[in-house]
Amino acid sequence: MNRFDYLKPVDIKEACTILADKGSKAKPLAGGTDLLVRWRKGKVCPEYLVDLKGLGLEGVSVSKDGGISIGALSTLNSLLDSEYICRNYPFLTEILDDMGSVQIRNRATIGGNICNASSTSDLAPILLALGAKSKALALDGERELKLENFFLSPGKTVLAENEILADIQLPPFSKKSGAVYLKMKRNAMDLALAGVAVFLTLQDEDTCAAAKIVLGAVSPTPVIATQASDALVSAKIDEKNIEKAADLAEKAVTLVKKEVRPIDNVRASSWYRQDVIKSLTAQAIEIAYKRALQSIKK
Amino acid sequence: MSEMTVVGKYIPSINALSKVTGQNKMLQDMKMPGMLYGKVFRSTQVHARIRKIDVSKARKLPGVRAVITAADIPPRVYCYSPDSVDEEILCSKKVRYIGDEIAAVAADSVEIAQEALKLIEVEYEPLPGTFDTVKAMESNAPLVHEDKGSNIVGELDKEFGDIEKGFAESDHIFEDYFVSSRQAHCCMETRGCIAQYAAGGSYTIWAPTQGPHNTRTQLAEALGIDKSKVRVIDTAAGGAFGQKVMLDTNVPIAAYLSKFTGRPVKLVNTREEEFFNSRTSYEFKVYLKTGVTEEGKILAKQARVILDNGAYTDQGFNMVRFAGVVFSVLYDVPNIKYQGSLVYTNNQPSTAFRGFGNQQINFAFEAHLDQIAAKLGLDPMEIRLLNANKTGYTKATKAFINTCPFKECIEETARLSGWAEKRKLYDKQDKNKRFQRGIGMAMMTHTGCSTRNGGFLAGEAFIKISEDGIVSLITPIVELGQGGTTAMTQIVAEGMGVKMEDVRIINADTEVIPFDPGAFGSRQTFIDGHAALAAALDAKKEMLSVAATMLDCKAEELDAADGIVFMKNKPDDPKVSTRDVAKYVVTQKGTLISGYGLYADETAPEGGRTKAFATYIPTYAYGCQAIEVEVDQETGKVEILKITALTDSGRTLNPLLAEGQIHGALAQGLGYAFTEEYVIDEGKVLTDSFVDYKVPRAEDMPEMVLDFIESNDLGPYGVKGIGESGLVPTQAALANAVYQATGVLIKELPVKPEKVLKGLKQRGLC
Repeated sequence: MNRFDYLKPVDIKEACTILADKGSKAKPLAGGTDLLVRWRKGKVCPEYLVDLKGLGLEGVSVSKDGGISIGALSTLNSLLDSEYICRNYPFLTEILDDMGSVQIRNRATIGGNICNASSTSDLAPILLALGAKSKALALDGERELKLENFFLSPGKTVLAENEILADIQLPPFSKKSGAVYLKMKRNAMDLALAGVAVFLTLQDEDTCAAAKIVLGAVSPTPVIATQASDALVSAKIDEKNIEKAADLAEKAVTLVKKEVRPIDNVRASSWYRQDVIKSLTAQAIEIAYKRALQSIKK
Repeated sequence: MSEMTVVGKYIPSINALSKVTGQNKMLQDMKMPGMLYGKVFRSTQVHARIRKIDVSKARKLPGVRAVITAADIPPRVYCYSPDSVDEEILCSKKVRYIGDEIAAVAADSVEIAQEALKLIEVEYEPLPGTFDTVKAMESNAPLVHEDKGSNIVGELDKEFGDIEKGFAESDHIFEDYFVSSRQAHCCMETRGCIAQYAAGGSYTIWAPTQGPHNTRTQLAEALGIDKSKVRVIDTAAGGAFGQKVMLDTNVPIAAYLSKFTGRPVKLVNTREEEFFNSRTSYEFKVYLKTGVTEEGKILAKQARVILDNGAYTDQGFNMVRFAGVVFSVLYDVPNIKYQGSLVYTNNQPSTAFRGFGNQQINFAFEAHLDQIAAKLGLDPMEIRLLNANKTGYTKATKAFINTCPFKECIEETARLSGWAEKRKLYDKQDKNKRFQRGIGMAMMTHTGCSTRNGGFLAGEAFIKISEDGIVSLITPIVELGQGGTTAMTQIVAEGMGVKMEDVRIINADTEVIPFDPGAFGSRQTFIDGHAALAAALDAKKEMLSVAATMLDCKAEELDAADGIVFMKNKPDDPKVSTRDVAKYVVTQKGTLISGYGLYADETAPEGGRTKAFATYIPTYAYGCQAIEVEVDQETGKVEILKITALTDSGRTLNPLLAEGQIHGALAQGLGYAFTEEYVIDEGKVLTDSFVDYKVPRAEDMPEMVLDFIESNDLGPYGVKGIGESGLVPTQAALANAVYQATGVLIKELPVKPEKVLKGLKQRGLC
């Protein structure tokens, strides 16, 4: 690791000023669980480390419509402890509980996870499926971002060097909805070999009103499987349609394959990642559907 | 003797408190006045001639105290094995794998040392490399060591009975091929040491090792100096698993850095270095041919194994031999042929690993045997029992099986795993269902006490007793976390009749302890336990004779247990405490009590000199495991539902620690079987972190049902060594279970979902 200056701004304005001032020489520090690993490996070598902790970007606030805004600097374990999330977005609690180790979750933040833009992020697919939005802060103002446009490539996002991700906003979770994220992994505490997030809203007990299927770990950025999602809309959730959607999800990987190099590494071959997407998708649709049904019946 | 007071009892490790409170200092915690930090400049090439090394810029960096290359140290090629001297401390002309040592730096801090590495310039002339053992044996393969004239380091060819006759008489002959891949040890701490040079040319080394005397011998050999010039002091170890049997290549480098600077030098691997440089287990390619009768009796079995030595020779010769011995001895077969080759490649060198080659060959043969059983329509348990070993001499190899709980191990495994019902149930399951279950088993034999290789199988121990009755055992036992020191404490307490809390262990320092090669081959509780028991009995005799004077009776009338001396005919009437006897002897008699113990296996020298084969193991231990799985046929994902492990312990000295050994072994065995894929691509290690190299986490462990068979063998109180055997049958048991569930047999470890899914697709099952 190179020599560097550690800077601890007292407010957002100072943080934005430093980031604007130092440009690419600076790196914002949230939990550091990704940054420090990359740093030690020599993949980044910032001259200034700008600690964003303690700027008031932590915590969960409930909006009027029942949706939430999660401060980007909230640690994963603090979100795991959030009763509101557990009650209203239980699938999110489920994902958080399976991420990293206790020690990692004590440090890692939701904003850090998103800004790190790892192709194997467990949070990105579900947040995309939910249609999450974010706010980015800079000296000259703030802007709203749709998370589905956020990721450019592994490690790269639409955030400018002088911008800070402030929060992740989730719309209210409807009484008729169900969601789940499933991932294939080798054993405990593994990165996803393939991941599928499914978010369904039902019209009635049989028919699906809206659906979004997002695939993780099969390409450099999360893939919204549009055709697969569309196949479920206004359709009956039965074996035939689930199979159809799962097939389309697998095809979505093929479509991606044409454009970018699919992930093919020591953790899993690209054919395997693609192959299990079908099975994962079918399973995820079934679970999301069951959850939505349960929710209606309540 | 009345009932045991501490032997056979659940007793926590005597180091438990210091470990959980952080008092147990590891090498990484240690600092010495004036200490410098070393770093090694390693080859980035798999195979290349060194044209030029320029360290001038590194030498000028402020804070750098020494930079050394081969040009700065006496030229010397060394090896543990005198048959294959091939390694330099720092490469002078050629590098042979990625990670090979070229130069080293000592600096005021690790950061400065790392900075200095970046200033070292090396010009290479790249050479073609060789990575696959079969290709490396071909005549046109690039030579890893030109002076050897061939990449074949050594070969072993053994035949017992008449193999061709055996095949001719067989009703069926089966042939198969398996690959047992490498496994990384993954100790909690990475390898390293602190070296201190002293005027007069002597060195002191602090390092976690599996045998400080072995380290001393090998360092003296590497440096070309007298052994008496080297002192090794063991530090606490976070596991070893065979990795710390052999000299860490960092040690001679740190020794020279200390010599050049006159200061202590600490040199510790990063985790990445640990993965690509600190050696792994040997990859085995295994070709099998087996002849059986219609009934399933094995008449002939033949194995051809090829081991990836890597770039330098380590334990390969011993491993070829040991794997051949356990292959030949498991099952009583009249005709056996075993051929082993040890082959140089431009991969990282291989070294010892818990199990010492047994798991590699066991996986192949035990999976092969299930295939034979399936073809003959036999239950896997049946075919094993039909060919079971018995007490006495084996038919072909004439190995002597002293105690043989083969049948008990397999029958208990079957009972505890519900073998018969489950096997039947899963045979009849609906094959169209997505989730399929299976149960598989594997049997093993392993040494119950090291080998007679090299002719040495002995141990010594000394006991001194302080004036207040504290009993100190001076022993070569090495504490790696396995509980060796706790076992010695129990043996001394039981043997002498003193309280466990009154026993102290003095070990770890070659200047203090008697000679001993170390903790490997499941040997120390057996050998050093015998010596400790002998020393305890010797000291007890003296103690009772003093007590007899105090009590005005005959020593023969007395006994002691749990710190109390009593009359044999009145065990419930305490006479005097062992502490009081110790006080009395100092204050009233003006003398002291001590004890000496020696264990020596009389057969050892002969076995060593003749390089015996199966007869070189003093006693064999048995074990059996059954694994139950559920396979998702859509994804190939295997879930382990339950593992049943039976271990022939001889006598379980301490069930708590014995269970710990088996739990740990199962985790390591399942890791090897299942997720620990060590990927080397053209000599480059791709799995150099715990993100890519997946060792099992606590939550990955399935239900484990353990039991021990007490065969009452030759060790102290009847023990056999159990340090290694727990991971031997695990791989085959898993592969066999997956085979029952899916009809897919994975022949190359690990059994990963991708391979299972590929197998299912090939069979048209999904």
